[in-house]
Amino acid sequence: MLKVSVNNQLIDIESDTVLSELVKITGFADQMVAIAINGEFVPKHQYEHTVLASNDTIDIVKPIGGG
Amino acid sequence: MNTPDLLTLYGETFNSRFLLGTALYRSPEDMSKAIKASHSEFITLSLRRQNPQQNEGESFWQLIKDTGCKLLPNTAGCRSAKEAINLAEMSRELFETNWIKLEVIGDEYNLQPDPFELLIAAQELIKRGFKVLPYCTDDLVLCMRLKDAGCQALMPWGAPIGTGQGLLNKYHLSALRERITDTPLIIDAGIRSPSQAANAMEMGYDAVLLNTAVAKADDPALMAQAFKLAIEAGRSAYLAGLMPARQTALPSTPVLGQPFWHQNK
Repeated sequence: MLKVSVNNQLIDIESDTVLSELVKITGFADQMVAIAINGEFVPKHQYEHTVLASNDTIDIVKPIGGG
Repeated sequence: MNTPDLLTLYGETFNSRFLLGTALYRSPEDMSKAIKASHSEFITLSLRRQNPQQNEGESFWQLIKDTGCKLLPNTAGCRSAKEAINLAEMSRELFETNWIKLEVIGDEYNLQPDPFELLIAAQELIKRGFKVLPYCTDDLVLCMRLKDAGCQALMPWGAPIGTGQGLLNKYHLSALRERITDTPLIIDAGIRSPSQAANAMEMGYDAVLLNTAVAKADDPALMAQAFKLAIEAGRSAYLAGLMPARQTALPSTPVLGQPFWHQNK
């Protein structure tokens, strides 16, 4: 098991979890989201190949009103 | 037939010179009605962390799609070029657009753009194929550098975001318009009233972007309509050519033939 931060909340995940699995675990599957790991944008086509590491900081964002 | 007076940004034309934000409305219905009344064709929006259980992102997105407007995602809240570049990439993927309103904030008190980080971010994003609309201060040299970086439109502030202070530094804003004649200039932020927006347009600005003034009005749709009319009026006034201002009075009614006036009296 390892710890990662998703939107500022610590969660435990299995080792070798890939980003596409994390999206499902956290309930964001089929939602309109964009993701960054440790401040770096990760394109959708890389979700299945991106293995998460301990202490990774993951930002999952959705559309909101803006000025 | 008159040639239509269109706003051109990065080679794309718009009938409306009013860009509207989608934040701070009391309800989604207020937002939709205001966008409709504004006749805006280009609306700003953003990305934020949200819980997966929150359905607001999805319903907001549905309303936005229903407007049929072109989308201008922003990088609001970013404090460095790196943050802004990454958020711009996330927006491009999610909203499927190369357009970005580039914001890099340098100070918490007045949310003033950081000119140094802004320029770095603009240079990089343009290299990556973005159509960058930078939210900047009214500093002439900064604007010239952003233009040199490849920005085909600039968005200087009227006043700090959400203050409603209007066009705080008219000297700087006039100088910008005098010196930068071949690039669209859009007043972004600080506008409170339609008369201020009209004033910006009379000064030769190409468009106005605002949010709070409409969203926080008692009747956002009516205020959006008022801004639309003011921006159109200001644009017409600019095209018509304002008379020169002068210090001394000049009667508008002919003096010749004035009754009761006698030379030797």
